[in-house]
Amino acid sequence: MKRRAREAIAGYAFSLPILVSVAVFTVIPIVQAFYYSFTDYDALKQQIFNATVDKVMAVGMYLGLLPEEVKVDQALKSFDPASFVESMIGTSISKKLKRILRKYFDSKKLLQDYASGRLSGESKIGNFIREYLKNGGRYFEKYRPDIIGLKNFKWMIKDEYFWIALKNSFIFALVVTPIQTFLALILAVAANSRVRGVSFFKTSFFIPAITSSAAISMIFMLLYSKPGFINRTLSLFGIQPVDWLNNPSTALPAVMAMNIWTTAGYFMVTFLAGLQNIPQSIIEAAIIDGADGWTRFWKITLPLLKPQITFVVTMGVIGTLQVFDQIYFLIKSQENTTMSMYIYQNAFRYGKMGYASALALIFFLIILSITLIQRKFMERGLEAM
Amino acid sequence: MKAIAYIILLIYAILSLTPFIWAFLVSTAPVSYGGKSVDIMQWPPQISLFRIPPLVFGAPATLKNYALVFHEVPYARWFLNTLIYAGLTTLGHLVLDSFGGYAFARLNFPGKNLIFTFLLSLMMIPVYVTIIPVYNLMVKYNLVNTYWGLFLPKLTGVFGLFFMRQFFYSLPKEMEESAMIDGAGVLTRFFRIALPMSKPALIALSIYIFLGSWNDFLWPLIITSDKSMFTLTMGLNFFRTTYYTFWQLMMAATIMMTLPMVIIFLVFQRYFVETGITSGLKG
Amino acid sequence: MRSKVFLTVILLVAALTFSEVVVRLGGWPSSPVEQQALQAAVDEFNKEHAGQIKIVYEPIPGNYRVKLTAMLSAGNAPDIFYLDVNWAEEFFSKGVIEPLDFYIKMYKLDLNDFYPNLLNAFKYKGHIYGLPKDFSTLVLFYNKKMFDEVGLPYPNSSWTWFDLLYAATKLTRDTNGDGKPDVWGLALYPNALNRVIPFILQAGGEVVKEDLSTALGEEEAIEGMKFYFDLHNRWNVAIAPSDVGAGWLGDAFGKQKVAMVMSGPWMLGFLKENFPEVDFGVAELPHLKKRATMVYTVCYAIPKTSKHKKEAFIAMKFLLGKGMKIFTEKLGVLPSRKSLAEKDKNDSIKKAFYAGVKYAYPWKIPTPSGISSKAIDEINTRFLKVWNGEMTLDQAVKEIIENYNSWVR
Repeated sequence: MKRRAREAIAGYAFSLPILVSVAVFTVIPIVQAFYYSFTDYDALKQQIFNATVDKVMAVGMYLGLLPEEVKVDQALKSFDPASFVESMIGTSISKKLKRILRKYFDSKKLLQDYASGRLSGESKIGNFIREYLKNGGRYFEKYRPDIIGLKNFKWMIKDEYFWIALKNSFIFALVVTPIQTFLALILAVAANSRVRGVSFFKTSFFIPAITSSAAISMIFMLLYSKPGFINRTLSLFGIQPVDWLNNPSTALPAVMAMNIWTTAGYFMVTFLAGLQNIPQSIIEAAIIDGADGWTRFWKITLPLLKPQITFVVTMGVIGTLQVFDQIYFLIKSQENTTMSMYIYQNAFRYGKMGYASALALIFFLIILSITLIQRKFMERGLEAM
Repeated sequence: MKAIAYIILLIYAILSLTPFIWAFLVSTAPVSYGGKSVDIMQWPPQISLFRIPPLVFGAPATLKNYALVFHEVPYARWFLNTLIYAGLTTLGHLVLDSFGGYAFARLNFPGKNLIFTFLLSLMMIPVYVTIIPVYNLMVKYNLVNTYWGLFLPKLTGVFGLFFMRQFFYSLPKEMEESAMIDGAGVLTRFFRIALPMSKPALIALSIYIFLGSWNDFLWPLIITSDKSMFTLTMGLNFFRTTYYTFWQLMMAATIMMTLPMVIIFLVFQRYFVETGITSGLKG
Repeated sequence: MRSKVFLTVILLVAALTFSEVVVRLGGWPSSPVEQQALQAAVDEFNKEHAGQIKIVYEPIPGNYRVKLTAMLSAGNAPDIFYLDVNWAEEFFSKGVIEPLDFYIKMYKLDLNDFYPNLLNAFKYKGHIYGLPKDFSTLVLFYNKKMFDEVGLPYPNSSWTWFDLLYAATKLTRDTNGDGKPDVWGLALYPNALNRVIPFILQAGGEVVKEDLSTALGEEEAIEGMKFYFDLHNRWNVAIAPSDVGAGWLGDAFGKQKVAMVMSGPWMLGFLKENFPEVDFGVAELPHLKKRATMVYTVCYAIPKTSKHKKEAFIAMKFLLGKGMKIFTEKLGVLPSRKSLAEKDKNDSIKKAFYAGVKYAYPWKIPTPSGISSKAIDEINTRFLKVWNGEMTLDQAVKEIIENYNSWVR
């Protein structure tokens, strides 16, 4: 009993560090991202209540009158606290905040203070508003994104770029994954046919995979340029030079080809390990039965590689759907953007973190369902063999 | 049959290596020669390697560009930053994953299976879901553009945990059981028996994590804002300006950041295969 | 007695030093020379205001917009920073930039000395949000040697489109006898609305109408676009820089593959440094019904979150005055104030740039929402297709008109 309790304590203590890090950097962020995706979270608005204003200047700019020119009763008639706050902040505020301001803001006191010269000094906008707010001051303490329900998702349906990005991500995965898997398989079979120098081949195939995609992108930027190596080589076969990366119709295929090049050799190693595990006796038995090379490959080798194929395809789909570095470096036109890039741009270039979170959420659901469908489909397909 | 295999393998080996060889050739071409800038796009390229010094793109080859990279950009600093980033991430993961992996493989505690299944399910979440809240967290605690901000959020992956758990699971139980009968506590069993036996796994995991962070681009892109905090992948962009791309320097920088990884890989290659960690190095 | 005075002085100095306000200045460094030039201006200011205000210059390398967005949202943006006219409005409309009207009055900054075109570029909803630090106009660069070879007179300010086309036709030649041209009259960007706009304006067209809807569907605008693309597609006298392995116009011009390009003052330093052998001249852009060119400008702005806005404005005022003088002289860029432009009156190269600023169009697309980057991107994508012959100009214009409103939301 005592031993079991001690073991349980040790178990918790051992797993605590990783659990904490997963909670802080994965689980809580997922919940937050979920919440963000239903808001209009705008990174640029994060500081609206923290900005400092000169109080006299703020009121003066809004009224267009100097303190001595103000007649409080008259000015009060046309004074709208909501639009005053908007002019001070410099951007629009939510309907809810406007309602609170119109209900609880002491416009009279502010105008009196301004007219009598009692108003002075600098203050944070949030504090300034709260000074004259009879109620609801907590809404002006710090920026809270507005909960806007499904608006982000509705906008997504209308957002042309979302569809373009989604389409491109799909094309990327659908083209790259099968080709790289097939190529890796061919290479593995070739390497498994008792040739010499397998370790040399393995190493040279592996180098692209251990090179950072940033470095690879730079190398291919050189190779793909219009008077570059690839066009020059192709011209030997009479092919006209193409401006691969600058032309939106060839840029994505060029990056896809590069991606296949980086990963095929890598996955070949996975297949090779699988092939080497196939007992020689099975192959020999098949040879005795008179099966030719082709039949042996389809009827014996492939079914036995089932786990490796599933693995390579799954990793391939997940990896290609999320490709980012290559897109960042090599893709110029927005027409060739992918989901990962589009999420990044929205969040960090435009500051639209609410929308970006919604995009990320949808993207996740899509990846999840694809993986599940594919797993089902592949299992059936491979069993049929 | 064998001949076909050789042809396929050879062609693909050439395909795999040519871009690197070409990049290296470009990196050895001087920026200017004989008062004129060297045209690395010239065709056919005037290259002849069998003379001293070799001729590349119509100019004598030089390694000067490699020194120039350090002069033109804070390359040494970026190298150090990358080393710190990759090093700390690796160290952190070794600790978290080996402790955690051992707990889930060998120790019994209530809720273990539930927690483990939950952790595994997190593997499917793309980084794009969590990256925005994590970034905001870093902003909140003023960790943007610091080493802490760089490596702390990277300690959250569950792949390493899963890998270490599998490894501990596959170790023979007998030694630990007999040690337990002798009265050895959990810590003794972990440090004296399990850890020493998992050297290959720890090495493989280290390389895997180190390689991943060395090559990482997205997170440094988001979290570093100052030139002095950049990592090598971030720095590459510096050779590409609006007006001009310094190909020779860029290729030199590219080769220099790739070479250490290739060496590490060659030295520790067997651990990759032995432990089967080659599961998902890259998508 | 003496020691008492001494002590007071020390205390006073200490108090002053202690209360020195630090103003952070941020911007993208486009070259090391620019960094040095701005630093020189900053040093001068710090000398003059020692003990009161100190500018600390922090260049922001890498993706400036992303970093600025991050800093503004974290509340730690520099007290003064650059904004490019092209996307400045997207920041003005978010309420993160302090309107400057009040400070301009308070510190008596003379706005009449600025080129009005540049000043108006940074107005949004009736307020001034930024003040231009310098400008670049597009002019016609020509290669004297290549003109001499075919015996053509150099371009001048009276040139029209017809002169341009005529010269370009003559200059497009086959020099190695393989039957295909290997030098061309012009290099143009295939997908750059900002380079097409001068032609649209020269033809008498507009970019946007009064109500900020697009005017690209108007007859004159189409005429301008048509001429631009015809130079490549119909007359075959213009190529894209990448066609000759050049990274950009200046590179193609420097390699002497093309005789003319339309580019800005950044060419001057680039050519001097990389292609000193090229003998070139500069003229105003050719015209048709009107004179027009494009002007790129960058302003200084102050964020709302700044804790020292007044000091920031004092510093900004210096950078726009004495500082601009130091900066523009060291860097050779063009000052946004008329009084500083005086000294270049007789500079044959710079004359064309100054002439342009009077009728130049600031590079931005005004939209009701302040957001234009998406529209620009979409238009450029279609332009590239037109250039490549994958789409007719009429089709492209039709698509632009149909979708424009959804792009600028």
